[in-house]
Amino acid sequence: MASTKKDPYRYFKIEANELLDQLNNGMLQLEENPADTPLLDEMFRLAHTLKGSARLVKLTNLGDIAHYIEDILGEAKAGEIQLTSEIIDRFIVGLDAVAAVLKHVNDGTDPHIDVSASLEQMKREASAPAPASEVAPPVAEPDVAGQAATVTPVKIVEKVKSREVSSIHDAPAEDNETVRISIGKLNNMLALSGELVINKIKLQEKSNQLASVSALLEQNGKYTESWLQFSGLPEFEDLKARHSDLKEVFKDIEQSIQTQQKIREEINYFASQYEQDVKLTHSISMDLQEEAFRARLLPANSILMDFKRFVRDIAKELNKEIKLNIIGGEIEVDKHILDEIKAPLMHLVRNAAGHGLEPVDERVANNKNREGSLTLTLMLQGSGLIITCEDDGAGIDLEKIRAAAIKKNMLTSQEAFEISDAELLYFILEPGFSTSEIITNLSGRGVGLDVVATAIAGLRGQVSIKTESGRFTRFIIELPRSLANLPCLLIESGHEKLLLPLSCVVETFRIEKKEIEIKGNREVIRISGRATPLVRLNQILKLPDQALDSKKIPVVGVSSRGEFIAFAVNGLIGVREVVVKNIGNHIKRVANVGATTILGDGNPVVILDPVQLIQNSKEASLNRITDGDEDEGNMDEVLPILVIDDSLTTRMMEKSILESAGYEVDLAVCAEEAMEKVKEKKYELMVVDVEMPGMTGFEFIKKFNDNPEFPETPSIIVSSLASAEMKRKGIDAGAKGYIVKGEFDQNLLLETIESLI
Amino acid sequence: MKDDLALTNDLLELRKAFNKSFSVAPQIETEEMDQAVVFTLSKESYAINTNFTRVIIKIPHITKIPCAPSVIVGIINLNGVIVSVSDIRSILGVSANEITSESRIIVTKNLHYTTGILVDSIKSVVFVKQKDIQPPISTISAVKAELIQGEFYLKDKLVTLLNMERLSKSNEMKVE
Repeated sequence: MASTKKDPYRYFKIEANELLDQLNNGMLQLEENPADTPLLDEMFRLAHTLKGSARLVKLTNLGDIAHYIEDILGEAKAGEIQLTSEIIDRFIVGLDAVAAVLKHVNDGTDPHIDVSASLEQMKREASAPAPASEVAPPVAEPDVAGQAATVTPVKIVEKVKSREVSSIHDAPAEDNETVRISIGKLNNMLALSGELVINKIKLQEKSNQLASVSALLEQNGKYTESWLQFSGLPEFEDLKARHSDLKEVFKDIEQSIQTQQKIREEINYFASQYEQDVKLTHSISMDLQEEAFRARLLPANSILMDFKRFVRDIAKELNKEIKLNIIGGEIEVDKHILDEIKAPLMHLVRNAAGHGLEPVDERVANNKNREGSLTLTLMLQGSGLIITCEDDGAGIDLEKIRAAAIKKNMLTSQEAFEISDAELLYFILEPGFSTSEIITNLSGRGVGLDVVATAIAGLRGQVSIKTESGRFTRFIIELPRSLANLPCLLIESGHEKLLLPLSCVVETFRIEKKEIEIKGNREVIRISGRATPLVRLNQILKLPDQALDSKKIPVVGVSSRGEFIAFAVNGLIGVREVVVKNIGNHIKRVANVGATTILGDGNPVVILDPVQLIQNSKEASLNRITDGDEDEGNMDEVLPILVIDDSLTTRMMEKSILESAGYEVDLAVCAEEAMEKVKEKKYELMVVDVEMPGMTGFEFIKKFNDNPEFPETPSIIVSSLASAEMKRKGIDAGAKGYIVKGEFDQNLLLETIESLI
Repeated sequence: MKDDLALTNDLLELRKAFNKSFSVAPQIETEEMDQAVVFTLSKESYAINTNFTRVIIKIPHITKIPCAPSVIVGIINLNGVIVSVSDIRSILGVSANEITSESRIIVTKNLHYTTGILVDSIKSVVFVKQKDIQPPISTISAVKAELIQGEFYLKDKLVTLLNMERLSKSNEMKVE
């Protein structure tokens, strides 16, 4: 095995060493606590994965041992045998043999060593088992010494993803120019660069504060200047003549104005410099994050190369003809995702080849191509990665699933016939669910598809299945392309801020309470004519109720596994790219919660899990939004605001500012149109432009205020006309506020409105 | 001559003190002292060995985790890392209390996971001789006794030293 070009075990050895570590570790835990069922399940899966990977790289010796371990664990899982320490000893013998094989793999020597002695020893119904140390294959010990001598001291061996203190199973240093860095270290760097981005946002906010300080100073300057106007008045000249101090005072005022001007200039200069620095920091931190992120990207082909041979081997074994097509293998994906996705994909491919695609004679009989087609497609969609695994086989037999679900007591026969086909389909992703009657070398041990579902969920992805009898089965895996950054929708519900992964959000809109219909005991709304269940998000999450604005209830349409549910929330805040963080390994599965993150304000926020959310929404019985109408009717109701402006830009800008502050907004393009609107509807307040075609804003306000039929409604003028005369005119006409467009600022508008309502 | 003698005596005293400073240090080590943070839950005093405490902080913004069991109060941002906050009162059978300005979070370390223990106030950090730690009194229920390493007196007040390893492994603290 002196291949210099490509090591056929390149990826296998990383995976296998890791599996071995986990198995070794787990065995010792099992010995302490043989009744730990989750651990047993996990070990069973590890052994299964090891077996699969070993066979993939044609290490039958290793595969056989793993297979045997899996067998015994399977029996223990089924409760057929007790895991005594004697059995654990036998496992250890096996694992030592695995280590011996891996040692050759790691060293690049021929790993096809004979392990039959170890296998014998494991299988022997040992009445007096030898201690593990004595039965360890003899190859291990001397080689370790040999290896130690040949490793040059300068080489630093960084074990990928290592959680354990390094053992003799560690991969020795490779001849390459690159530095291998543990995912953990890279993740830390990513997390830190994420923090940098958060801090950048804080810096940005500081620059806004500077701007408002400068604005305050300017305002103050104007007040001071207004004093000077008096000094020019003739009656003041008298005063000045009589009081000599007054002259000094005015000198001081002038001085003060100059100083203020200087301070403002200084602050503005500082602010502009600061702004530039922040921008620079922004681009650097974004670049850093991008680079750190890209450091983790590898072409998907790095894990898919082996698949062709793998499929060919399966086909040969099963006497099938299978062609594997891989589309999009050049797409670059996060290394961690690739690592995690390889085993699930292998299971899917194995499953498709074993169960999905029919034997040749059956295909011929059904007028299909002799050669079954199996297609793996990778696509980037938005910031997500979509992998589909499709075969043109017989499709999934729903009746078989139904029967198996009943047999395994997952469903009562009653339930089994009430359940929808789509829901039934997803039973194949449940642990321990297998419809295959015979256990083959390939699959059918009830392991496999649940591994897929678990792994994908762990990556915050989704699996959906489509199948058509006699035509095809398609598994669709939707994953984030990066685990570091997740685009999310920030919402508010039950007085909490929450995040929903954007990948599951189909649309957001607002509804009126009267649009809600009742179907059975559920509430539904019509979305493009289709009745869609409507659920209050806070109730699913067991958060306290927060009064919904009955006129405009914000709704998020969420879809997962082909199901669609509309969630009523209290607010749609916006889209955020977040750095995903875990809570800690003691909190593994909180219902409806996927992960967490820290927002720009430094506060943690929970990221919801759409799959569970939809699942739980279907089951829960909930209070209806339409209940308790009376209570909400008592709330202070704020009427809409009428914006009158002939400029489209101004209209839309004001509309968006007002709406984001929670006001409802009506628009009019001219005073005449506004006149029509005020006749039909009451408004809380009007925001009026001055210069418009036809009636001016002043005329409109005057006309409105003079007409006793109209309710008292305050109006604010927003105009580009800045002269004092205009302002006076506005006040004369009856306007309660005058904002000059040049100094127009969101907060000024909102504060003025708030003071008037 | 008299002065010389005084000087010699002084030097002897100094030397004694010097030597003593050497002999005292190892004595402390052999005495098997434990350092513990003493805090209150309701009116009762509890303690955690400082081997398991990373930092004590004032209560920052705590974000609730929907659907989480009541022991898990929420999550906080501890220097860019998300840390859960646990309210262990229900586990110990102590009545709940409002968060006040005295309330603190003790962030743990050296356990299987990091969490923040919500406490009503911090009393002190003390050294306890291991021989002064008594086994818990028998009136404590078996479940609670599991979680308690022992008890010691601090100025006539009984302090319960928690067994953090067991407590952190108790099912109420975890969501799996």
